[in-house]
Amino acid sequence: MAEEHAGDELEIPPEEESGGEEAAVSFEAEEPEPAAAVRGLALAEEAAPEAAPSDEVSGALASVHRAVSAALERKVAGEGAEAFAAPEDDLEGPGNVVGVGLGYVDQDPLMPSAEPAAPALNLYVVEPVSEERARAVLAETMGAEAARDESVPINVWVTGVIEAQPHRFRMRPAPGGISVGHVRITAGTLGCLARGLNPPRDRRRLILSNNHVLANSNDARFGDSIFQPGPLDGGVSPPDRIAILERFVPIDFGGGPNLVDCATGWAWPDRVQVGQVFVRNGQRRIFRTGATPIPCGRELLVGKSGRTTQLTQGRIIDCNATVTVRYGSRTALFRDQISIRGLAGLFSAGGDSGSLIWSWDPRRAPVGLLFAGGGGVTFANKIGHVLRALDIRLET
Amino acid sequence: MPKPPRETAAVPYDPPPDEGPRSRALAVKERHERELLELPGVEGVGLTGREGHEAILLYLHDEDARSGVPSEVEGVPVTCEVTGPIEAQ
Repeated sequence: MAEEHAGDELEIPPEEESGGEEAAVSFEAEEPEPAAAVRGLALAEEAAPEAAPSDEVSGALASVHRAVSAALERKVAGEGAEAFAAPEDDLEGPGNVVGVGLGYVDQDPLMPSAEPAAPALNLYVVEPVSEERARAVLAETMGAEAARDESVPINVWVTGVIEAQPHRFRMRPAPGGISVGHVRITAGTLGCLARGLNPPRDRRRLILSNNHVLANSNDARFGDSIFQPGPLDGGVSPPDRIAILERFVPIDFGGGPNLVDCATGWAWPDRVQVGQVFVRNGQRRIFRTGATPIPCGRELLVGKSGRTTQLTQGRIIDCNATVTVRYGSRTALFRDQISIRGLAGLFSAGGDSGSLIWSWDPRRAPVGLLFAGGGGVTFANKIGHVLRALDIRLET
Repeated sequence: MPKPPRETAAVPYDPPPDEGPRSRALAVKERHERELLELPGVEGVGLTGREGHEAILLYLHDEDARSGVPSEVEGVPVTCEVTGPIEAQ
């Protein structure tokens, strides 16, 4: 066997790890603030399909939802400038509200009076606020008088400023959760870093994502360029090349069962970093996940950071899914998959493929690799299959 | 300039089938998976619910598909989720 497969350009990754401290770097705002509120409304609309049938939603609840939606629309349109100030000026008041939707009473017993799973208003806010204060703000400044009625349940979700900007930006070194893609695809998500278990791959700094993100759904070769951001997000050669295609598991489009849609890229060590990106209040931040996988468990709370819907939370509903997945005009059958439902809106959307899914607890233990979705349900490969298939371990 | 030897990037993955223990509901789901997948509008078959209260979960293309699926299989209840077509993201 050849001693080293390193090309002229690719260095063998150094063994020392980067610090792993939480890092914050300044964020060149590429989109103006007003879009943040638009994003808030979009989120509210996504939440709407979870609502109970309309005949179960009380008139008071519906009227609060209508009033707050209308107030947010006026805010986005700029007509309500006098009625309430920008969020940063008025986090005590209506500026704190960035989205509204209909859902069910959360299991978190903040409202002991409300029955579990009764229809409820979902209120998305920048800063924590008491339920009492939230009701007063809705009634006094957003035209939702019925919000004073305590029989109208309100779930308050602290989302922070909902960022208008997906993780489409260029970032060096590139972390997990950010736009990436093979030269001939659109864009997906860089899941996390990894390393081969056996020589010579144990000396390579690898990036993990899907076959359909890094390997163009089987139509690719070792050494193909991988860009960050992905081509759809403006990634071009050579300045945005962070890796070359290293390995992928071919997807069987002929009807045979698949277990994984996964691939690795071999990265220039200084162009990538461990951790996952998220954006809060205009700052790009990096957080770490665990590296030791845990098995899928139904009801497990999970999270992911992805190129399109960014940081989201969901709950596993199925650890044994066999599903037919469309790849453009082709379809492939996947078995032994995880499915996840988002908790406040969608868990994922197009462009989030490749995201690492981890348990929403202090371990942040890897559980899955996101690759597909439909109608508010996200599908992921089990991370154990991914690691065995690619003969890698995660470096997170 | 010498080029590095090319590796083959495509490496198939075909692990042996999982022979581990499974719940009765999972065994029923696996026995009937093929026939359930062939029902019109069924995009996928899974298993949901808490331990001891499991249900076969059918992922459906649309609401109309609900009328064509069974309410239980070998005593295991069937529940449905309308996902529309499931697409690579």
